[in-house]
Amino acid sequence: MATLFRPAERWRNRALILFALVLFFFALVLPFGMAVLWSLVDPSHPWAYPNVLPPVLSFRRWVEIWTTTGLQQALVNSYTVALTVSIATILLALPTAFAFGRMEFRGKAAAQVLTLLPLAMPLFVLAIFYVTILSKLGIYSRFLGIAIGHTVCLLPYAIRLLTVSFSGVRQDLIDAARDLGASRLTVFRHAYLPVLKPGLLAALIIVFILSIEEFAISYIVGAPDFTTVPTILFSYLGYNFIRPSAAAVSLILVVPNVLLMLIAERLLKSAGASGAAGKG
Amino acid sequence: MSSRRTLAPYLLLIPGLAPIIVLMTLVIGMAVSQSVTWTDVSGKVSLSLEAWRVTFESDQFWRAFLYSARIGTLGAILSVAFAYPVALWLRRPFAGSDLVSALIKAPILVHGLVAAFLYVNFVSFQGFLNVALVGLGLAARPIRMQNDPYAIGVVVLQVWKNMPLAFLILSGSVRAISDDVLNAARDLGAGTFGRLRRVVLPLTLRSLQAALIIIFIGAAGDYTFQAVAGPTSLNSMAQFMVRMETDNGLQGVSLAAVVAVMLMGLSLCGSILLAGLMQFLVKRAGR
Amino acid sequence: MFKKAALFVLAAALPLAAAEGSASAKDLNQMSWDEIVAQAKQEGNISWFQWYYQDRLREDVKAFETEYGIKVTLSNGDYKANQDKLIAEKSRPEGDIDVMSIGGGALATFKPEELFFGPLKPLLPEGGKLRYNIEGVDNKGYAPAFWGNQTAIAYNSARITEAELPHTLDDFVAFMKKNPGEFGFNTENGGSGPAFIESVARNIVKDDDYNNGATTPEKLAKLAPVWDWFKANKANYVITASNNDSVSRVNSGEFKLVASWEDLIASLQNKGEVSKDVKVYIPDFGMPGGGNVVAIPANSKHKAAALVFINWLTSGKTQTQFAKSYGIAPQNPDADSSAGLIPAAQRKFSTLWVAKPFGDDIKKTFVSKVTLN
Repeated sequence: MATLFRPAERWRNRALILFALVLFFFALVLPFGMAVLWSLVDPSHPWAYPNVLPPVLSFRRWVEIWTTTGLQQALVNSYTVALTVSIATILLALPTAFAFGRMEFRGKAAAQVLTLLPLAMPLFVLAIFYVTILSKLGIYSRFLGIAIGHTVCLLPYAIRLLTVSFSGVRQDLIDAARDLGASRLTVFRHAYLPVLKPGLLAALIIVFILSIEEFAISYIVGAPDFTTVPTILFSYLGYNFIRPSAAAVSLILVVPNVLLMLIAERLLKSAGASGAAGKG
Repeated sequence: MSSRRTLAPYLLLIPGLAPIIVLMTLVIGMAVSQSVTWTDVSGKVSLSLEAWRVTFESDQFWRAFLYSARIGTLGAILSVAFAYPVALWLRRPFAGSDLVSALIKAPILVHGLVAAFLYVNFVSFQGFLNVALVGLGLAARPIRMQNDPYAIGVVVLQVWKNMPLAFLILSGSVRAISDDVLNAARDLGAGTFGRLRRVVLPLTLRSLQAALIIIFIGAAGDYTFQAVAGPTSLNSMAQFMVRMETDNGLQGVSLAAVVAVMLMGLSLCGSILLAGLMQFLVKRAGR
Repeated sequence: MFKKAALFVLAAALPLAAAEGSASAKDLNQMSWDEIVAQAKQEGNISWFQWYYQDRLREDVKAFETEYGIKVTLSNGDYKANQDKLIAEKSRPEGDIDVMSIGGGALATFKPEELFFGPLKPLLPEGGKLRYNIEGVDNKGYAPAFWGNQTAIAYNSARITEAELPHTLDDFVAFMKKNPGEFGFNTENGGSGPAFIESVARNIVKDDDYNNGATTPEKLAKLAPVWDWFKANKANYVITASNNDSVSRVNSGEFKLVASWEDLIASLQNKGEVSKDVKVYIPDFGMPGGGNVVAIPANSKHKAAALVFINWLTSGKTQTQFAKSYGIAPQNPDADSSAGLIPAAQRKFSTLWVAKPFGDDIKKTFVSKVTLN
């Protein structure tokens, strides 16, 4: 493909790539570098006026944050909620996505628009009135409250991703398997599963990450004692603002998400590939 | 048998669609009904438009309303304006294009709160920006940029976080334009700009609108960026709503409900206006 | 496979959601202290709703946990959320809160005998020695004080000398004119900024009824000159985001002066977060001081354990240690008094907090009349 580009265009591309790299450096590398530096400020040597750089660096703060902030409990809460939510969301989304991806029926377009409703709802509005509803129903379990809230709000993502997967399943494969007298299970295993699997896993991971990241519902429903990772971070940015500690918590929040998202993207790519092959 | 056939898709819709519709109806119903009830000093609840009257007469409410509308509009338009040229540039792969698109998408992996912290840290008194300004002799003393009164910080954060989202939405539709269509346009004598106006823009209109709407709704309903990096002299709608609820005792829920209904209204009207504006502009450009 | 996993998760989550109730067979009032301790150990755990320093207190309560084998869980909620939860849960037969920290003055806003278990005064072995009358509110023995503190003005001595410090309201106006943007205070996330606002109010409108918690429109209307004072100087001061934001910004040299807490500065200095250059003083027009109390909600599931914990928290030993590490004014007469950061001669400027809820309404009115206008 590269031969298609004229030399002038090639130089322009190179200049633009360089510009993108510089921008990336200032928008991401530098801020993260600053956060790393702050998180390494030694707890007994303040970084104060007029020091331009922290006087002493150490890993002590990381150890302290890990052992004293309740971060461990928050991680447990976040991850159990996210696991419950991602499984529940996928189970609920599967039948609906099947209908959208493999069936034609009256009102399909309208129904698809309706599934997007939670995306159009400002999350703080949802959270505040959702809490009122929960207390009217007498549901005091914050775990259940947050899990239900997340499940409903993340259903649109799961339905959308799985719809694409279902529509990528090749009808001729299904027909061929049926003609050969394959059982339903065999049809599912050979015609559906290979195409569905990457989309399924990607949906699982994306819902998982979005649940961990969700702030409004976790904050309002979970307050004050059911903490998730974002609510801890919010308290470190507000009432309990101690910059070096906030830096450490921020970094702890970012790493697992980056890893999971990279996996999800890889899966989505292969889902896209098999989906495209399905059309051939 | 055939009735079972026709019913089947609708039955399949229930598990996915019913929870959404039930919860959304409950929440909207709760907000609207609370907004038209009023608890008086003695604790008596009655049907009344008092909460609407009080809210509409409050200057602070209108300032929050306009502020959120402004942040939403600016965030959406700037994000899309930055993402669109990049999506066009990366339409055809070249050496290094994968790298660039990975770099652009990176902020999606960073939680909004982390981004807000990084930003505040970056512009703070001891932050890199100030150290650099003073170090280069551009400023005698560090400049106060945290929680700036013009909400530049909030807009920067919105664009930082949403530009990659706009890029994702737009690049899909830009790539879907086939080379045949573009070549045909070129053969008919359209220049680069002409092809953009007559072919590319109309074909990507839908995703431009989708990106604008999604970003507008998110930015207009923002709470965290505003709470961490926004001006202290202004409230966003979400912030104002939470404050109304907590600061007003028995009447708090009704007042918050009015703000909630107005915020939903803002999201809806803003989305329609932005989408309409985009359509108008693209049609104009195509002439 | 997914179904199985989902069922598993549900099965694991449901018991967590349901309360594990433990009915106290015998009334705590009729038990000896040893019996209470035995019962406490059986209960085995408490959750303490505390709104600041949760991370450091988690370290401190380890001593209690090893001594009694009772696990203490500290929540991460903020003050407002904790108090909302206490009120929201009061009609539940069993709530989640076992020990509740609350500002001493806030007890004027609700009836302790309705919300709390007690009075604790006769139940605690050292109950007679402890303090129940704080910030102008007598809670009738329901909630002993465990934390005494004083608001103050903090300054960065690397940027301003002691001689330049403003001491009267006129000094402050002159200081702000000469040093625009060098004085900061918060309105949200902490009481130090609101303390400064109250102090200005007390000094500009001297005849309002500050010791009566009731709010009337007339009392608020009387404060108009206070809002005028703040509006007139608005260009010259900065509203910060929280207590801690003020401190970190005075520490970085961004401000010369901020409203703050004596114990906040002391504890952050002991921890090494804040430079020793940051010092505190009380201006001549006074700043409020007071303290926080702990109580046991009436619907607590672990009352005996909560009682044993409060006894530990208010003991001379713990209070001495808190005075050392957090710079608090200890609330047990057996404790060694804190050295404190404020010069002794200025202690006389310490005032009462404006009685609540009027005090809260002063802050709310400030936000709507001054900051958001």
